[in-house]
Amino acid sequence: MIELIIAMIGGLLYRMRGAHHEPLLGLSGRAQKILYMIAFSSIYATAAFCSTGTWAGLIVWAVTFGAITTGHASYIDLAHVVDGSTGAPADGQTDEWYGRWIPGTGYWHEFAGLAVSGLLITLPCGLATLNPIIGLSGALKAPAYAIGWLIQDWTELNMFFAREAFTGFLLWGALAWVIL
Amino acid sequence: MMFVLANWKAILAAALIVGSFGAGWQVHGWKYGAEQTAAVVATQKAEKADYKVAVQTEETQAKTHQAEDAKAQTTIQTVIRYVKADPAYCGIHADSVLQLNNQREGLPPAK
Repeated sequence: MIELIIAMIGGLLYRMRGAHHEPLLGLSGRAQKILYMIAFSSIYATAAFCSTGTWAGLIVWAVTFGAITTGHASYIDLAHVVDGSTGAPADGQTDEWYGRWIPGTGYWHEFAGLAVSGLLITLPCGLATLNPIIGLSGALKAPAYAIGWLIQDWTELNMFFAREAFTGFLLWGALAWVIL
Repeated sequence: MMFVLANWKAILAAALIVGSFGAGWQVHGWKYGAEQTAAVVATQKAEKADYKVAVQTEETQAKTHQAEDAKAQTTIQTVIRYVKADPAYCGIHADSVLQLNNQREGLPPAK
């Protein structure tokens, strides 16, 4: 039960750090997003802190925060957006720096890109705790987006918010599930 | 069996990754593949329609040319008939009309 609650908080935080919602708490959009990103990365810092110590916790916090701020716009559409079409990501379909080595194009290329994007978030904590499951759990970002798009393709529902929420849910949920 | 029991969380996560990828890939292909096929078929249809219009235009133009040609022929033949019937009256024009007709028909110049 506690894992489910942690996962839901993760989903909420990951969604709130995203775009297209009214800022809360009287803060500017950017300041607020930074706070949500810090909050989202804090669970990984806590795991590293409890496992290894203060410095590991701080380093994991900083690196994980950096990973969350790293862009993923080229991959989140999972090949549903083509170049130049309406609603295309702001950076077009150019690979992010961490995904340039992934061969091919289209659905599987972007699925792999999302997995790598997620791994950037969880690998530091996985290394600090020497837990491969935690380290690899970031790859769940890809199925989270895939499930979101799958539902949207079937039902025509707009799953923009849900895809991000699924990601946070799976990432925090996996960590909670492994630790607890 | 022991391995499965010991690693069921990791196996579940792997199944989730593989399953969601497979399902997403299939549905994506099913939906957007169909759209792409429809777009290609529509383009081919439009190309065929364009071709049909071009052929029709060409046929219409050919028919118009034929009609104009026939009309010109009739006019020339009429003039020739007049000239032959009354060379004195049409003497001034007879030569030029005959030359024009022969030139048009690819015949040697009239004497």
